[in-house]
Amino acid sequence: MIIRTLKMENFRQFFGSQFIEFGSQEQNQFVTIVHGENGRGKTGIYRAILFALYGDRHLDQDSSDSNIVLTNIKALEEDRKNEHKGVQCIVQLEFTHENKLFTIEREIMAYLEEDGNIIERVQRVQLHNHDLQETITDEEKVQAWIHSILDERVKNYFFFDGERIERLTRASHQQRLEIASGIKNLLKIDHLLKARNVLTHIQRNVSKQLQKYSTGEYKKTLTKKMEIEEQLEGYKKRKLQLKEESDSIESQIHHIDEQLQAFHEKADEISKRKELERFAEKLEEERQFAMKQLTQFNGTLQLLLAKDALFFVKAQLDQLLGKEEQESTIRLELLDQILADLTCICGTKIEENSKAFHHLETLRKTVKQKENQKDLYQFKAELLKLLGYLEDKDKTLQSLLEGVKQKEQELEEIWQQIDYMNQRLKDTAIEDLDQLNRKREELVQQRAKVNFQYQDLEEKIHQAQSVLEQLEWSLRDLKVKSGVHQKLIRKLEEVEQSNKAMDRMIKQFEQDVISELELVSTQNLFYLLDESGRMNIKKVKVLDDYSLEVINSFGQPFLANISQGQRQVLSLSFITALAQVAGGTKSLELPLFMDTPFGRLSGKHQQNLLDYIPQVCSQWILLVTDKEFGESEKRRLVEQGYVGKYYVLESTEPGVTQIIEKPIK
Amino acid sequence: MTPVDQPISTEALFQAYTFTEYQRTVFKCFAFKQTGTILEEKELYSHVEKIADQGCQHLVENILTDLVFVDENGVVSLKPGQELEMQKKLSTFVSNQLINVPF
Repeated sequence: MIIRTLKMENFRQFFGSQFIEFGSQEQNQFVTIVHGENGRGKTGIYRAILFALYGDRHLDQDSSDSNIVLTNIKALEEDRKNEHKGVQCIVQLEFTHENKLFTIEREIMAYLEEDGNIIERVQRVQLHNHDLQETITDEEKVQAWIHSILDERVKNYFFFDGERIERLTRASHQQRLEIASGIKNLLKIDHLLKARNVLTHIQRNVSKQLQKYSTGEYKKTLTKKMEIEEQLEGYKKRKLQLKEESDSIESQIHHIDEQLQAFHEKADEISKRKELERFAEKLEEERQFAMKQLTQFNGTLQLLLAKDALFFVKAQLDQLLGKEEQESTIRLELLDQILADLTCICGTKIEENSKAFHHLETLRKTVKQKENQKDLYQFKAELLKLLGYLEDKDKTLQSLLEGVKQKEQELEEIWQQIDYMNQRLKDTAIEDLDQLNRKREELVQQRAKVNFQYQDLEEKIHQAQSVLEQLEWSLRDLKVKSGVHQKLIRKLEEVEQSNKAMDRMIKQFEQDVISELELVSTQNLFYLLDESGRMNIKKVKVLDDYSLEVINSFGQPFLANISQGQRQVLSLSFITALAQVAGGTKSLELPLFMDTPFGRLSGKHQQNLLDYIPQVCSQWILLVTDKEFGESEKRRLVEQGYVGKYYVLESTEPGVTQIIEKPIK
Repeated sequence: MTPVDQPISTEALFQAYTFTEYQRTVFKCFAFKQTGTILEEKELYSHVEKIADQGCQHLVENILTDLVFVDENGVVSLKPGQELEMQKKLSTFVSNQLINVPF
């Protein structure tokens, strides 16, 4: 297939009808460059080609929940404002295949509803063979026809997004199986597999016929042989299933290991968070202790509130009782007796109305007055005692309160830090880590079980094959003795031999193809890699499922250690090798369509690609940005004389891009 | 033993003799401040009961507003889980009273 033209009508950013003619093999100018900044519609062109060929409305890189609208938004808006009949969105691709001209066209009818919702409906698909003047409009037939040119399962090897091309080296088990089938189809290995299946079917039918017409020991042995063959078939199927299970488990373990690695990278932060959480716990204990001390102060707290009143009343009492007065030590009864007897306690006589007598009378008055104020004195003593107790207690309260507030503030700061770390680690919940470890453990156990079953099955297959071999020998002996149905016996023998020969041939062919793919991929990789890459990588290995591995100078697998850019180069080496091997002596007649292929490549890798790809492909369509593909890169390709067409995508208004052809030189 | 579905006691839990010597001094102080005399015990408790009632009301209405709820019968209860917060508010209130001398 060589793409000649692409016409888009109201597709993605391309408002109205727009057209690209691609460089052709005439005059060897088969390189087309489409230059556009981000958002100008390069991927729109990529979408248009995959939509036209395969009816794809989503690309692999689109997220599953994204709502991709293929119809041009401006056209939809204008239609809503005007007649509101709907917009026709058409993609038409013209290509040649085996020197015949074809046109494939797909049409979508789209409506923009009043609420802004967009409805798109595929209206029509049509494949027209210009030579035969035939048109196919049935979707399934169109798909089958395109599939016969380029198997959909390997389309991403020829139409690819450069940013994601290295994913081909990271495909899941299921993807690898599909890709392997696609590659076998591309390399025509599946034709041989189909032929072998036909032979197996014939062999089974002949065996059944022979079983029907034979008798005695021969029939018994033949029946036994057929049973064993059936059993063997079952074992082989089960073995394949177990292999798939084992690969799937392996891939899950790998996925979990990647996640665990991410945890590991955050382990420092997690341990710091744990430390903070422990510190927060300690602070919480300290806060509770401070709070407890404050609570224990409650008895004093209420008294403190009365401190002002206590001082006020003390001042009142002072006024009432006099500040300097001491409580009298002389009792009133004693004074009364001295005054009645007119004799002092020392025996001295006191004369009535003498100076001493008057002193004693004054003292008696004072003592009597004091005795009347006894309660007040007692009250004042109580007050003084309490005030003494409360001295400095207000400072104690403040200090206790400060203690609580300080602990609360410290705690708040720690929790802020923990919250911040939680934000950073929110995708790394520790529960997930435990769950992942548990899941991994389960998977490892499951893997051991599956591997055991697999080995057991291999043993059973080996035994069944031995039994089958013995039965075949027995049948040969019995055949001589029976002398009947010689024709059928010979027929079975010949079919069996053909089947075995076919098996050997397929194995040999597949081995040859894989060896050739390895050789060419290695050559391509060496051409494309820079010097340091060449030093590290010795060989490309194509595994049985057509997945890739690279081997280093010490003969060890090295794929896990190479960079993303190197993975991209490896994928490109394999793709070009695939095109070379599938093409045989000439280049495979398929385009290499690359959307932003150089983004992750270093200068040397890119330079090597620009020199090499034109030598190994029939058509190269490059969608590039100015960052990855400047004037010097363009000049390099132009000077080689391969560039046939050069376009620039220019934005004319929001959401509308114009495809403008520019002179090559 | 009291059945579980009956209140433990309907009698007042606080009685005069549960007060400390210092508390009694404070009561006498409040009474003396207002009456200028030292009241007999019975009169004294009746007097401070009124003051305590007003104090409680002041606290509920001004200091502990966020921490209490009053039911339809006017019974004031502390919101569950707010015990420590109340402790802090009371302590802060007392501390502020000691700093902001009212005279």
